[in-house]
Amino acid sequence: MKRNTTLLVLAAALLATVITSVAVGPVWIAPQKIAAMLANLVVPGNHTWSEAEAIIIFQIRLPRTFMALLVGSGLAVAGVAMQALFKNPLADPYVLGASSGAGFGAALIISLGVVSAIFVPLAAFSGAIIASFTVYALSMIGPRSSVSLLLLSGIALSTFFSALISYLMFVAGSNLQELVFWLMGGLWASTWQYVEITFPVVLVGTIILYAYARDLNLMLSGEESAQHLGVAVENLKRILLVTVSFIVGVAVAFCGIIGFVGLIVPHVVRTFTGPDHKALIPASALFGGILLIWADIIARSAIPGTEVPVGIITALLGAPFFMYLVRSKRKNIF
Amino acid sequence: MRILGEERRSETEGAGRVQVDGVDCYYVQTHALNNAQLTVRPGEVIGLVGPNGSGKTTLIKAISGVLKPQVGIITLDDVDVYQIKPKRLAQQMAVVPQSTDTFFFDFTVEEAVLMGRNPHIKFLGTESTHDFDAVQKALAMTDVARFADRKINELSGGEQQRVIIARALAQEPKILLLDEATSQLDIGIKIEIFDLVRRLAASGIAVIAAIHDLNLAAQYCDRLLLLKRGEILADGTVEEVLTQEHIAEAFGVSALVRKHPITNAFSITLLPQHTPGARSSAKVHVIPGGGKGAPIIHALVQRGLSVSAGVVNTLDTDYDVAQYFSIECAVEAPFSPISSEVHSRNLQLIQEASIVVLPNICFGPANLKNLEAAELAADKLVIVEETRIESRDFTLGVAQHMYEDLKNNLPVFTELTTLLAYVEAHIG
Repeated sequence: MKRNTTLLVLAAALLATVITSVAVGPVWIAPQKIAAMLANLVVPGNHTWSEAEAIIIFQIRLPRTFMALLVGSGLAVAGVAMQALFKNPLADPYVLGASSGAGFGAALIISLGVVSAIFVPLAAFSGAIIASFTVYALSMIGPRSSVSLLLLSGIALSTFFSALISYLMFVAGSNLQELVFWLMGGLWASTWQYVEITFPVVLVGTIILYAYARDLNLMLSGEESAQHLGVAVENLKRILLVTVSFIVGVAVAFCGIIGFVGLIVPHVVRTFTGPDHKALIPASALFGGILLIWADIIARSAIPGTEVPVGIITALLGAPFFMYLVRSKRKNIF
Repeated sequence: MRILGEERRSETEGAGRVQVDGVDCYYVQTHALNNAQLTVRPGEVIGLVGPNGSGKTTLIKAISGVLKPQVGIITLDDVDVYQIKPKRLAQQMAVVPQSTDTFFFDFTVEEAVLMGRNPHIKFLGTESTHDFDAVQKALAMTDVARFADRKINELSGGEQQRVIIARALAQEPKILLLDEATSQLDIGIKIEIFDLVRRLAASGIAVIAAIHDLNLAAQYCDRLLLLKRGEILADGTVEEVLTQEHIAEAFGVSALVRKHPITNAFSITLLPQHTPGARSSAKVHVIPGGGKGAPIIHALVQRGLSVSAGVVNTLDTDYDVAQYFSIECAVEAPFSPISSEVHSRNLQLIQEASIVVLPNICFGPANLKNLEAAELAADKLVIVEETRIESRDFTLGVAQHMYEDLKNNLPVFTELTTLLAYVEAHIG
């Protein structure tokens, strides 16, 4: 009952957030006009808006808002899964090295001067997947993987790729700007095509993680205990790692490295849902979407005429809030 | 439908017989378990005892399916446990670990215990009424029902461990493995939990418990397995396994093993290490009786002195202690008067000694010769007097007369510590 109320409130908040996001921008478009435009898709009616307004809404703001929603949700549920797997409140979706792997892939393509809307995301996605799987392979001891080794391999690989990225930036010259922007994370390039690719990955990924909610709860009491309670631990790890790699890979490929969402959202949500993953996963998906859409609204309207990378906003606002949360609700952080 | 249901029953409901056959486990370099052999039948409580690092936990891990042995096989109802899917295994076997990750403790007690039903719930399935019944039963059995809505981390350590035990019971297992599950709990809760274990065993559950406390193991287990450095040192009943020799071999300590006169339960008292060889060639002789000599013999041996004793009767506690420390002794048969042969042996020991101690013993016709012996010790004699001689004399004044004569010109101590100080001052 309480869980459903929480989810309902979050869903309503998400709807309001989406409408706000579509309305706000250099050109203000009243919410009733937006509502009319959307209604027109179902039941054709009178055109109360201009053609330019329709383009702004449908070709720019809607895909961008959906992208923010999907990436925010995806990173949040990936963060939940990683924190459960590592039983570490500091784990986030990037611990497996996917971010630096993707960063290296993108940096390589950009510094080679291949300017194409498809190649950069493709290289970034490949980098993320390769990095995650390398980290998993490095963490194997016999037939099992060690979680602490997983964490350490992730850190080692991230450091290695970061060094390579720095080197590429050092020699990049004129292409530097594009690379820096990409590394800071942003949603300005969002198109419907991006949404079409991201949507199924995030949706299926979230459903898979939700299906294993019970197992994730059991993982919190330790790997061996989880197995004693019937969890096929090694199998679960593989499923989590593949799912998280795909979600993170897609997110990073299209939007760069947006930090902090995957770390902070699970913690915030846990304070009102408790540790049960059956509530934590859907609530985190909704809250992650809300958070990133708002961050993007701020990113594109804070300084008129220009745009701040959204990764800067999430970190700038997220870090102090996170500290406040950790200090005031210390007992609830896991 | 009914047939289908019964099929599923027979699938999951084996007898619950565990067999460990020639199992070797290695951690990177160390040989943690060597040729382990064990058969566990339903309703049996088996205790794994042994020092730290002896392989108790390793054996529990191997049986529970988380540490695959390099050699040998472990079967549950004739199926290799490593071929059984975790979910299926968890329907029949539950484990209570030494400790649980604290991240888990944000759940409420009821949520946590409900997780014990996980092996019985299908993927994407929901809990049935039977699941909730099993949870309520487990909560009641472990006496945590009154905390059902509290978060685990708000409870005390003992209560937390009982929640974990409740979670294991909610699994409705055939085999329950306890890995030192009570070692951090206080004695009252330990007893409560092991009483519960006995009741579970009576209902047909097999229990394998790694237990640190030998007395607890002796009291509650049908069978013990004594391990040392991965080897099974002894396997059998409590009486067969917990002998002084076995304990000395496994733990490297000396122990007194006796049956409690009231409860008939085994009691094991670990004794402080005594140095076998004597430091001093000077001897102290103790004239024991009625257990009064035991603390003095113990204290003297502890200080590395060479001690003899006599005359003592074989059923006397003082005899047990003398035997335990294997000191020289003039021994007489139980309840018999001191024969002249044993008396002269005693006098010989007294002659060899530099100090002779006469503890606060009682005198009767049977041991009056001991008082004569004390008299012959002359100025080597020291007396320990805790109670007046009148109350200890059962010889109609004969002993009292002799004793008072002796007491007049000899050192008399009322406490063990002052006696020891005197002895140490006179024998360097």
